[in-house]
Amino acid sequence: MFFSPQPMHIPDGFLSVVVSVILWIISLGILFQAVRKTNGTLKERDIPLMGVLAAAIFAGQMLNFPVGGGTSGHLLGAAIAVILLGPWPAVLVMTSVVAVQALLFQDGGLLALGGNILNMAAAGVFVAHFVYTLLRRLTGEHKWGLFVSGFAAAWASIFIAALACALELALSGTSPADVAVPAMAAIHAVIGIGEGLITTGALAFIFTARRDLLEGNAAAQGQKPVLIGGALLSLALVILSPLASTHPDGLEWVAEQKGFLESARGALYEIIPDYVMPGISNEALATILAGAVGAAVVFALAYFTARRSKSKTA
Amino acid sequence: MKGSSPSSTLTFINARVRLILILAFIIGLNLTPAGAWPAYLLFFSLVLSTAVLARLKTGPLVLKSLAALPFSLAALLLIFSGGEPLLNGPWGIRFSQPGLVRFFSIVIKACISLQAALVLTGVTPAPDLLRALRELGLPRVFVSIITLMWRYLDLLVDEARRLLTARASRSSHLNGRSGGSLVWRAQVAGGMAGSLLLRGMERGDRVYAAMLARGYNGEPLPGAAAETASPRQGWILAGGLGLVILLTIFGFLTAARF
Amino acid sequence: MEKRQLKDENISKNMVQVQGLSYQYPDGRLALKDISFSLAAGEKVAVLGANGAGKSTLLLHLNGILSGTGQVTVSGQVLNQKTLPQIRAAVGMIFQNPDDQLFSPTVWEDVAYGPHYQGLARAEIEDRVAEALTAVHLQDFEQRSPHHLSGGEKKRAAIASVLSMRPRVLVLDEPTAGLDPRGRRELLELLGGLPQTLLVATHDLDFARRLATRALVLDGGKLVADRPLEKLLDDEDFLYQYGLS
Repeated sequence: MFFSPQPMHIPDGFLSVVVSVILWIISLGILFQAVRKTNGTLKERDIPLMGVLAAAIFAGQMLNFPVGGGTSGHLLGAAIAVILLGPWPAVLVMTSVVAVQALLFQDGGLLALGGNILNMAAAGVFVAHFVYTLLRRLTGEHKWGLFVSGFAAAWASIFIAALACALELALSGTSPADVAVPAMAAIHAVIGIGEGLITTGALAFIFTARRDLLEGNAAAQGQKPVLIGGALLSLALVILSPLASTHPDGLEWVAEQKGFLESARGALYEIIPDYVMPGISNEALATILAGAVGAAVVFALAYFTARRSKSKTA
Repeated sequence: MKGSSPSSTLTFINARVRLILILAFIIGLNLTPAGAWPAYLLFFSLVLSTAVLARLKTGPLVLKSLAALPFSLAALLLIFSGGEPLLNGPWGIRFSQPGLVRFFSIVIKACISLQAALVLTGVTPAPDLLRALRELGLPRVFVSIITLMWRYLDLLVDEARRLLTARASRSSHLNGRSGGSLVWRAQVAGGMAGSLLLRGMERGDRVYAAMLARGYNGEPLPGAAAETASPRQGWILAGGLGLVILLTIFGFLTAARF
Repeated sequence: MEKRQLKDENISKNMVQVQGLSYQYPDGRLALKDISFSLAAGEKVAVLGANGAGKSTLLLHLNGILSGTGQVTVSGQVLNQKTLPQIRAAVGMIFQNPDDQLFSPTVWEDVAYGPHYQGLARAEIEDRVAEALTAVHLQDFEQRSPHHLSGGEKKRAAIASVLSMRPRVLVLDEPTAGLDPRGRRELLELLGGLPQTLLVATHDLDFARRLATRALVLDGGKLVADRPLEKLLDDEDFLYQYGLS
């Protein structure tokens, strides 16, 4: 095999069939949309570019840097793909990478492929797009804005994809949510740092070599449905995760949906003051999650503010 | 490695049918409830027999399927938290019986599913698989991207390897310390990734020109002769699906007994 | 077939010594068969051979990227796991495609990689980089992106990135590949002027003649000749037989 199995590609057997099918349906919907959206804008000549870029991301996942203790960090590539190509083409490229990894290298299951595509090729891309666009707008003309935005986008793509993965495992009854969510979140909060660093390294190289590739494409302008999707997704996952953590058995949690909306509203109000989420035993993790929620809310506020001021000046 | 050469015994089954059957197999297997050990055994023997018929080496097949094991850490807690009844184990640890059943069911299903996927790729070379997907409705744009990705994967992986070799050649730590900081090493890895990406993108333009010059029109590159859909394939498909359904039902029946 | 006989008393005088080196690919094919030779300090030697003869494979053994059976000694130290770091610092390897060696945003950072990894102090790194860039006449290129350099400039930048580690031996794999005549000429002047022991694998016989004094010829993984270069180049039949012309 070219590479070592990565922690986020879910093999078959770990997601229940019901969950897998639902995830497939959602993924197919998103992919259908991606194909539709790119049909108009993609020129024939972009296809080889995307194909080769997919190969480069695939190969890039082989590049590692030793972290210590015999482990090493790898690249996922959703953030760099979306920065270079814009959201919808990036979805196509990442889907191709994830699908080929599953089909031909058995990295990730076939039934679970829908979920893996959703996590890495859709959620990862959308969230990265949202964070990147928002932060670039906020940091404006400063040169370092590119790198900060890239870092944050990369980190967020890993973190949110991991949360989605944990929730899917919990819903399937494979992992109790109160362990899966904090564990995946904590591990990938760290892995996300590696992804962020590698992404900024790649951006640095590209910035000096081909600055034109980083500007003047759809990525910087931001596409509304994707941005909103990315924002909502981030918010939803970050809020859902701690809630799921309070209900160890994922199946029971689904049965308790009736009470879900009430607890969601309650949780929102309780979150900010103490920087600790109710019901979670691991304090440090609760802080991380609270921070992420806070950040997401700030992002959303900033975005809508920026939008309003833009429409005022337009 | 890249989709081994097709065996002669199973190629009478259309690539599309193979794909659907393997997927149905995996779905059926995963649908069977936890603890249906006899059914798992039957599923396993079905996969093994298919592998034998396809003249794939079963030893490596089973070994490779163990790659799913590391992920089973995700399910490990089921052993303790799966609910009543509780069993008493060594050192006073109490295991949950349903939890144990579920855990091992997951692990077994994961390995057998992986074996099924390995059979599929062992018998179906990549171009045929891609064509089968296309015939089943995969949009043209994916076929193009994947075709090109596949073609250039070798090249880019080689480049990645050479980048790694060149980096190793300049990586000497003297006096025991060093290696640079973690952040720096990550930045270097990122620079290498950026270089790969950039060279990939610039190559993309040249690739496009070369392919145009050879009459490329976006359809999959010709592999084996296109397979026709015949009634015989329909029978094979029905038969295979029926078998899977039977096994799944058997699984439900036997699980109830355990 | 001529072979230099290795005498024990020569060992300490030689910069590089290879004894009985064999290498087997994972699939069982023998890439190198019992190769032995030694290089004196400051010698410039060409490695010749047709494609697939094993030139690159041999080169990769000199800094431990590949390890086969037999012994490689550099500067008196036998190459093994423990001495690997020292030998990597002593044997600088320059690969055929400079793009594989240049991956930093600026030339300065690429040249600084080696010393940085060694954990040297910032001031020392700066000295080394300046020294290396001067040696390859790229002093003003520090802040340039390596991606934008011409083929010849990239080659020189790659060489600088190795020189900054102050190696005793330089090993180059097909250095003139892809260079235009001027680039080739500049490379020749550059390499000719460097004090290091040089081992160059090349197809370019003219380049070899102007740079090296001795030639090692590989064929099918075996060392079939180890002679002064001028004499070899005059032997038309020999050149033809081993795919060198």
